[in-house]
Amino acid sequence: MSQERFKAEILPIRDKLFHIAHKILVEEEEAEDAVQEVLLKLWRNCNSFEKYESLAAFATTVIKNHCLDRLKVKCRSELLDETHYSRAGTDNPYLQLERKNSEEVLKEIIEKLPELQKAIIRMKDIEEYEVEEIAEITGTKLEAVRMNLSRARKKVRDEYIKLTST
Amino acid sequence: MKLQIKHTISYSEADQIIERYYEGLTTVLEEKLLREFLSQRNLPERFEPEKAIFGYFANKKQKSVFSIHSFVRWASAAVLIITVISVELFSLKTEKNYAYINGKKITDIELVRSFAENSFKDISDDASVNETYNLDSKEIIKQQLGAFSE
Repeated sequence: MSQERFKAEILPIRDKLFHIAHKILVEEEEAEDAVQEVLLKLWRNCNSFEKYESLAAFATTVIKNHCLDRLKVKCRSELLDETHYSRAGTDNPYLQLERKNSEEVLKEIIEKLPELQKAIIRMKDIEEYEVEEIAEITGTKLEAVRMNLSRARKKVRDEYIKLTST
Repeated sequence: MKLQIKHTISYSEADQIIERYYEGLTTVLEEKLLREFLSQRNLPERFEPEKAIFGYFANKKQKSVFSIHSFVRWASAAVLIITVISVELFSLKTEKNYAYINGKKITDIELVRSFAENSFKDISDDASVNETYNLDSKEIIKQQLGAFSE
């Protein structure tokens, strides 16, 4: 029922949501990611839709807040010196000691993925959605979902190898 | 002795599926085959990252399935309790109704009614009582005996 409402009331205003995101974030690619993230977020919370009379209004508020949060995070991370990160590195013996097993390592890697990639890998590899279903929910082409999924999976593998090899 | 024949894919098939997996091209079914393959022991070293990754996701999946299972278990226990209670209530309700009149247990509704009517008559003969409480004896008896016949 709520999933039907999602399809009937939110998917048709995808362009409008993109427009709002584009205005706040300026960059087209970033706005597109933000829209997909918000759509997946809304899909996951379908059950709470009953509270809202107008889903379109609700979705508009969510995308606005989401983009503003994104902007804040972006500003904050730009302030930090990139080299600071690389110096802290991953081969720090204290960090190695903290990582007790591969499960913790993987959990950490997945947590650090970009929001959209995280949501997609979770839906595909844990909740067993097909790529087609995710494309329908996010209102994107199959290729776009595959590309994000592929990036996420490769990143998980590469980081895992990097962190576990001694 | 029971022989367990398990169909698993070959190393080269696994390599191919893994390649497709990283391109985001595998189906849920292919991933299931791969998961079974990777759950084997003594696999070559090159499968180690995928073994860990698939093991991690399988573990996460199990957790979510487990919570559904435990929900089903609790739900079935609740259904059982409700069934027991409703059966009890139903049998209580259908137990034969009775009234004690002068220390005797009487189950015949007509007999109870005539006794009741008689005793009401004694009261309603008294005009003052009737005025104060505006008693309609027949109606009261009917109400009281409502549960009796069911």
